[in-house]
Amino acid sequence: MQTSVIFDYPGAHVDMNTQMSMTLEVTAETREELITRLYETSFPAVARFIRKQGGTLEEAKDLFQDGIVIYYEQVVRGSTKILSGESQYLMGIVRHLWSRRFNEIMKLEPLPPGVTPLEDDRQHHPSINALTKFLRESGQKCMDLLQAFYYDKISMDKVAEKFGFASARSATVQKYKCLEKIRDNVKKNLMSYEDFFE
Amino acid sequence: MRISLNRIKSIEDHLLKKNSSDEAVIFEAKLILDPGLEKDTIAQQLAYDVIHLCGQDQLRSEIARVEKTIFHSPRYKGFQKLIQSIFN
Repeated sequence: MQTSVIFDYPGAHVDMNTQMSMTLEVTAETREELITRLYETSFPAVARFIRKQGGTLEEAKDLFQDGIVIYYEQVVRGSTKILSGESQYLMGIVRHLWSRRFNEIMKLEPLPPGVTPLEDDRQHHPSINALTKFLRESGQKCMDLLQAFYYDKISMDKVAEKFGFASARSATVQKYKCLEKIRDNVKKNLMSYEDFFE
Repeated sequence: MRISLNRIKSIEDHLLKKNSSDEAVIFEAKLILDPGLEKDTIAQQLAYDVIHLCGQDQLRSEIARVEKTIFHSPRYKGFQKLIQSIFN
């Protein structure tokens, strides 16, 4: 039988529903510890790999940052079954990112003079970026609450505790109020709003 | 919970696939009959996308902060030497 990894740093909550799956709940306070530990335990191996492939320290740092984001999202979502150490898992992500980047470079032909290379998706949607900035500035408390639930996947009981609500029920009501506010702001502020409805 | 919040919840159940197959069929029917519901559903999906981007931005800024510390603070001298030796 395969063995699962135990996350044993302070604040980590491991819920093992079965031998094959686990979810991880990381609070904002412990996230810094998680990131620091990942650098200490996993970055040297990643650096060696990137160096061996002919890459630079900057590329290693860049891919490692992306790797942590993917790792975090997969693990907090509980959609990943981690069957080996987290370092090996993170290394697997970085290897994949490196090969994807390498293949992209190999496939790309030089652009004709005067043609600007494509930016990432978010730069294609300046209205989304502007909206994100506006929403963050106009309602930080609501955004924090929504991020805690929808991005960090923190349970409603913990959200209630963290944001000072009497119960998970009242935190849930507030969550829907905040979502309504954000949704209405999306409607009001998205410049290309009509595009989404045609 | 007030009616508008119940509406948000039902859209959420649909978008995050939390409803049963019967509820999903009813919701699909409502979408056809109520153009306002369709607009709200699209806007709510965009709201989730924005929340995700904000969450990701915050995580990235925390990672960058940790990276700066670990590569520049004297506390991590051993780590810095190790990484330097790999690229030298």
